[in-house]
Amino acid sequence: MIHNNQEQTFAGKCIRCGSCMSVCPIYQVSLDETDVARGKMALFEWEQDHPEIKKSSRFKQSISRCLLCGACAQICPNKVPTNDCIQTVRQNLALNVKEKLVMSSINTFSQQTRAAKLFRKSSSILQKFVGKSIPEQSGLLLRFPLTSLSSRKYIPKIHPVPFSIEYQFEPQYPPKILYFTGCGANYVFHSTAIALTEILKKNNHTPFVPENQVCCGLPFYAAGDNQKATMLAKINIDMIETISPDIILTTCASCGAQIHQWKKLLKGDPDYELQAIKIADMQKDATAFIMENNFLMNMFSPKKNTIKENIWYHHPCHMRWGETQLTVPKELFSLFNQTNVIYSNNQCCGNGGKFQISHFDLSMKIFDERMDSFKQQNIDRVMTSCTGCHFQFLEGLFQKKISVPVMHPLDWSVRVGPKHFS
Amino acid sequence: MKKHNQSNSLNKKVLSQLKAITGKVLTAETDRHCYAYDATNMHYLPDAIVFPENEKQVSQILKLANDAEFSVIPRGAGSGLTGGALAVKGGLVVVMTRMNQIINIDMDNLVADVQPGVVTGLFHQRVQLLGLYYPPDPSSASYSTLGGNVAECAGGPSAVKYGVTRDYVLGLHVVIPGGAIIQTGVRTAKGVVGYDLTRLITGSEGTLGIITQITLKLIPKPKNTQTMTVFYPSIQCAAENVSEIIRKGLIPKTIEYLDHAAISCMPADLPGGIPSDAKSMLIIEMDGIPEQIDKEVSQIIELAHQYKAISMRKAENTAESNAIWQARKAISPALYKYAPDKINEDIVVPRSLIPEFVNKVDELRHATGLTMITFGHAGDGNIHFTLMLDKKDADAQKKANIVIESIFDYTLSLGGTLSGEHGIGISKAAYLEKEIDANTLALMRQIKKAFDPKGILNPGKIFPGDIS
Repeated sequence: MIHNNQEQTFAGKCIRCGSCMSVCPIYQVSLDETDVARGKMALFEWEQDHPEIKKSSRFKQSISRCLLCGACAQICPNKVPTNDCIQTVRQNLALNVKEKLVMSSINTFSQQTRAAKLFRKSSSILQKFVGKSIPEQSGLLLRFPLTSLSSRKYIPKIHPVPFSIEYQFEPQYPPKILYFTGCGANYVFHSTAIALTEILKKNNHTPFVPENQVCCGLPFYAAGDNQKATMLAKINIDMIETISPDIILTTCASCGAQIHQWKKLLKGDPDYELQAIKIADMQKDATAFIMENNFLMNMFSPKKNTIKENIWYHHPCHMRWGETQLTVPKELFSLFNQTNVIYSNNQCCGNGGKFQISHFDLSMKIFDERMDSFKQQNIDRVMTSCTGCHFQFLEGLFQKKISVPVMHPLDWSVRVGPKHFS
Repeated sequence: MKKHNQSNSLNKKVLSQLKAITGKVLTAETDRHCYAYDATNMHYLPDAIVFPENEKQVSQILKLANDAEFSVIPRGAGSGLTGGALAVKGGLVVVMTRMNQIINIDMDNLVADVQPGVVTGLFHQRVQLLGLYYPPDPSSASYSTLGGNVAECAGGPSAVKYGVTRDYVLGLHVVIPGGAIIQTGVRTAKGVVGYDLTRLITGSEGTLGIITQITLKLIPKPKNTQTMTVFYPSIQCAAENVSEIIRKGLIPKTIEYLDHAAISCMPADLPGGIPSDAKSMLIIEMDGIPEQIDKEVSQIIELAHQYKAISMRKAENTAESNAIWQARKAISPALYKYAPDKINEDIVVPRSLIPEFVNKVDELRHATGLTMITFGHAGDGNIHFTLMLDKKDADAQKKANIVIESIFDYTLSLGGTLSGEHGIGISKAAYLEKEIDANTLALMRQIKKAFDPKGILNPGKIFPGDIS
């Protein structure tokens, strides 16, 4: 975590070599230096003696145009924590009205209050009308479906009952496994959550899926609202502490990464710092966990494997950088030796959490760049392990009228796998 | 941060005329700061920025500039190392990155027509897919543009065997001040009609015209490549080994040389590791048909033994080879661990005299106590001499100035040149007269005047005394 105004010191280490231009998904579409890390670092250095520049709308725009994907920090030869610098500056900038609305609705959505339940229920009914005339002030501007402020066209189905409430099994342990569903699997992609719990169950593990888990806080963190992000982290940590698990599994790369941010957000907090560190160590990507323990091998007989598919696997940014870095799950696909997997493992999909709401057109343009090679292949299925990327592919493919299902790799291995095996 | 008086000629009327040409002119402070730098990390604020999308717009911009007399600074990716893209006297930055189309790749005649904004690395990938090869490979290739590469005559590690950018530029479309569009060169393997303006403009650092289209020569892609690393107990052993490799008639694609300080900037996970007693290192790459590569590799191994090599290793696969080159590319920026400021000179000496040059650096290092690093393209004698210091330390700065002067004088006394591939820009303008005699320099100034009588294009670059 970078403290206020430290971004200027870090920005001073940027030597403007330009390496970040070769990886920045936004720059590659816009070709505008205000979008790329070295431009922003130049602005932070200038801001040191000229704080008034922060007030300019062009400056704010520049700061908002970042996916926080981390590619620039990774390639930076001088190891400037560019994405942390940008996030820090965001903390100090007032959000624009659109973003504020989005944030407040996510907030409502992701909490276990009565209002939230009502809201979810009504939003699944209202889905029918989306794209027609939902007023901008309705607050139904979720990260997921009802972003009527943007030009989103794809509306996934929201389950009126979250997975964590639907889930009825008595936990079996040791080891104590806690499944942190994240909002994606909890409210929309139930099949991902079902796949994971099914695999675990078949291997004699039944995880805890606490009802009182809330949003990981990433959308707020990305928008620079550290206060809200910290508050959500504390609620989650309290929830985790009551169970005191050995392992925390995530099926969303972004949630996984945000769990590691908790310890930075809570650094110096006497009540939470140590717990946050401990919890970060427990976090594990569910697919990696399943593969390490050979749980799929125990379920299927690879010999009967006849599934022939062209799969496009998208590796989420939050698995490419930082503490949740993982290699692409080649072992998973190697169980299905007749599948042909194309690994799109080095490019951001353009979602970037709230970014796709505030900069929808740009976000889609980034996605479209990726689609040039996609169209040339005969893809049967898209797979990714991140809620944000998942939505981005659903939306992007829908807009392009490409009818290819998108799913989590575990969902595929369970849902599609056995059908072909048994 | 250098200040200048806003050039009055870029007034409201002119800005609206510019807007009529390109549709958009950036003048906000935020934008200007993001086009105030290049990879020199110096900062000169321009007054406005435009992004032309075709040759006609560039022509209109240069006509307007000539009429209204404002400075125009052409810019590619802004990754140059001598300040070629800096608005040292303010003015209008003309960013060429949006003219980024590969117009045509002629497989029958091995030529390509490209717009200047094409990123060099993307062009490499495109031609490679067709079994072709465009050799110039500056370290910045993954973000620098072909237009910028031509304007600066970029080089790179493969120059030892394949030459530099100018050896691949067959022809150009250039807009000169006043707006006239000129076409230079040919699309054929040979051509001697009229003066060779293509070679004149290649490496002219944006002072003669703005390049709007480039015809490039391509060659068939070599079948195989083999990278190897060799470590030596002293700088001299490595330097003498380079000379001997060349003397024996072996021409690897690349011979990169690194001294001890540069080696310690490499990541520890370099394939094969780094021996603790290594004082210098060569990265050698051969390409061609497999049998020929094998033969050359064994000859090089034999020579390396003669020069007391501590260890040597062949990269086992492409991934290892890539890791070695990644480590090599990481050195230049990683040098900041020694001190906050860097002076980097890309001098060239005749290849056989590299050992003498390295000894001279040793001598200066001992005499001044300053941190000096030598690494670079030893195969073609292009050594990146780097001096790390804290510029706030007046004593160190004073010593550094003396060192640079002696390095330049010594380089020239060996029959070398002040810059192999970075250009003169503003960084080396003060030293130009060391290498170029008065008559030649006067003629160069006349050439500049013939292209740009009002001096509107990239002012302050190359020629000494143009900026203070």
